Amino acid sequence: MKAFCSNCGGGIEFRFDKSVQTTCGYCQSIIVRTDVDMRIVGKVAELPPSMSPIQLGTEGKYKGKAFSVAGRIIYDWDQGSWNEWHIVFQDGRSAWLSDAQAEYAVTTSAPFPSAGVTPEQFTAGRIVPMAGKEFTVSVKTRAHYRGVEGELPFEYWNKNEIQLVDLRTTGAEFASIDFSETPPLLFFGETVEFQDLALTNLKREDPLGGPRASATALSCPQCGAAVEIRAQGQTISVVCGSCSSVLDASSPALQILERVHAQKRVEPAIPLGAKGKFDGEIWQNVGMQCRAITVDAVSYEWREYVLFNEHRGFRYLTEYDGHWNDVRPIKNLPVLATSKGRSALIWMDRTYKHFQKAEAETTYVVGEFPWRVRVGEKVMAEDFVSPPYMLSSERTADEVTWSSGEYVAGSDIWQRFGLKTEPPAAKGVYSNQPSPYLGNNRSAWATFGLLAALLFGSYLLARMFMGNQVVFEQQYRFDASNKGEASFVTPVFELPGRASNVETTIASDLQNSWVYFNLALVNEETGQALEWGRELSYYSGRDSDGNWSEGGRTDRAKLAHVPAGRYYLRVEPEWQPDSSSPAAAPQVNYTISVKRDVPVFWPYLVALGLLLVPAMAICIPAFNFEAARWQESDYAASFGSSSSSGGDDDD
Amino acid sequence: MTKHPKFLGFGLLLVTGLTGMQWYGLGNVNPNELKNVPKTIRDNPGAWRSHYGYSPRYVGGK
Repeated sequence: MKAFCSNCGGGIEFRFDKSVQTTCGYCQSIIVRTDVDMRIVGKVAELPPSMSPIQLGTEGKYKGKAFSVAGRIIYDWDQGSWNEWHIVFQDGRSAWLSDAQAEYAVTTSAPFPSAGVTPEQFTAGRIVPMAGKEFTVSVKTRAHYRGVEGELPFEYWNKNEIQLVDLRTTGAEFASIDFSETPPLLFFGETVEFQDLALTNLKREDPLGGPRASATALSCPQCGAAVEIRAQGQTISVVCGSCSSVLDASSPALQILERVHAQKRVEPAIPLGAKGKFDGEIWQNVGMQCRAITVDAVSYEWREYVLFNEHRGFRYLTEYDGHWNDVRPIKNLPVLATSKGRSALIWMDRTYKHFQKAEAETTYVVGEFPWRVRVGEKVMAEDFVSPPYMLSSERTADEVTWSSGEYVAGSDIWQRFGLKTEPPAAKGVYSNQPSPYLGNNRSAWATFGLLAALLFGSYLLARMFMGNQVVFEQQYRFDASNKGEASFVTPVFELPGRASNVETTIASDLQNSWVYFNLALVNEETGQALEWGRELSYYSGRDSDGNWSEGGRTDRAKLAHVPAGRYYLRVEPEWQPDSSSPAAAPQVNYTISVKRDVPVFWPYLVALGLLLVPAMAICIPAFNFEAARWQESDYAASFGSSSSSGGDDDD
Repeated sequence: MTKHPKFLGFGLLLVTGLTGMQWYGLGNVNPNELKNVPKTIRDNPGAWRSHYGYSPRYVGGK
């Protein structure tokens, strides 16, 4: 539908049937159409500059359906501004493409599920069930209507301040509640990636390029020094490099947000304005803040660098004692879990163990930030680790944000930025630093397992192929009260096969006495003999503790490497009364058996013990590394009991 | 598996040595080796006393 603006006479057009409101491209009048006519309801204030690559007329695809961008609403809130682009699909349906610092979400209007809901019922972090899913309140804020552009599906020009609540799930689902009306307006949808929208007719047709906005040079209203804004349109606050005043970058006059009497000056290790390549794209370092936590009266300070890419938004590099992390905000929330009795999170199929919780305070700022940064700003920071990754949350009364970090070596960062200097040397062990011994434990135990299997195989072979043959067995009786000759010889028996061991077993019915056996294995043909002695003693009884017994009625002795041949045993049982412990002379029935080529088990246990020594020696450095890691956590005191928790990444 | 070649080498040596010792015939007593035991021992076993020393023996009980 085409018409003329009743204010300036310029041509206006409602391209979409369901559009109710549009703005005149010539005089910026807001024009609302009704069933019978069109009327001017106001005038759009000058719109702030926007770095968004999207513009009216941009086309794209969402879930395979083509859409056009018909209009937008611009909001300001405490930490920045964002666009709500009104998109119209080919079938006439409307939706909203939210664009906040290059984070995108597509939502559609939905009926509010329950009446009587107030903003007070929503607090950051609260779980709200909606549409069969559990949503978590991520942001609760007051937003300011900044302006409109193009066609909208309803009248929206006379708002001042609205109460908004954003909610997320552990998936990509996203919801936003607008409390400016009763009942509140509910928008359901999901977060989307810029490249998935296949946008065309953008402001610039180079969505993967680096920051294109030319830096704007302004003057600090506090000290007059030049202030450069590199991410114009996305930067919310900029810090004067000269006087450290925090300035409002969204206003051309650079209104002073905070006068900072800087007690210190920190030189960024990565210069502001430096460009580095991450994920194939160019990112520019636009700001740095120092933050600190205090644990046991000791302050630990780290630095966070703000990197900006026009189409990807912001990412951060953190540095503490030479340890770096590449940090990105995450859209889908992690799932709460426990791991070995401790708090944990599951995100992207990885389990992150709770590491530390502390209040972090901003101590120094320089450069640009996509939020209203303040020195002294405090958040409750919580870290969960799964080396080399880390999940971090920052919580204030009205907002919970989550980010994912990946440990990066300083030399890698320096290479990405092409810096000629040396990165600060890494000290100690960082919370999500990958263990240099990663895999050592696993491979050491794999080696141990292989060798143990070989040992077991060796024993099985011995069991299978050694004769283990009884070559002699005979029952005898010894009566110690008989004063006659006790010694005797056995019949001759054959020891067959190769030279191998011989096992003699004496099994008796001894009771509360002992008998000593002098034994000699004599080769009948050569006259050579092996002589040894064995004692059997067995005592048992009952006392106040119950039944007891000591010693044994059976004895086994093995002779190593006895050549084959014809042998007999000379056996001489002995018993002598002991004056200190008089006992009745024993009468013992016993059986002597001789086995040839008997596999022996105990050396395998010794060998297994010997194999444990190098396996454990290999694991000690990995254990020490994990101990050093968790020494810096909330669980330092209990690392000993949780070493497996800390070290099982390498188990 | 090649990450710990020394460990692997030590283990293989241990397994090989143990297998060889098993085949050789392992024992757990250290007998006295005697030569020229008289054949008359079969007729009069009590006449031969060749063992060394006297082994300490347990005569206790609980």
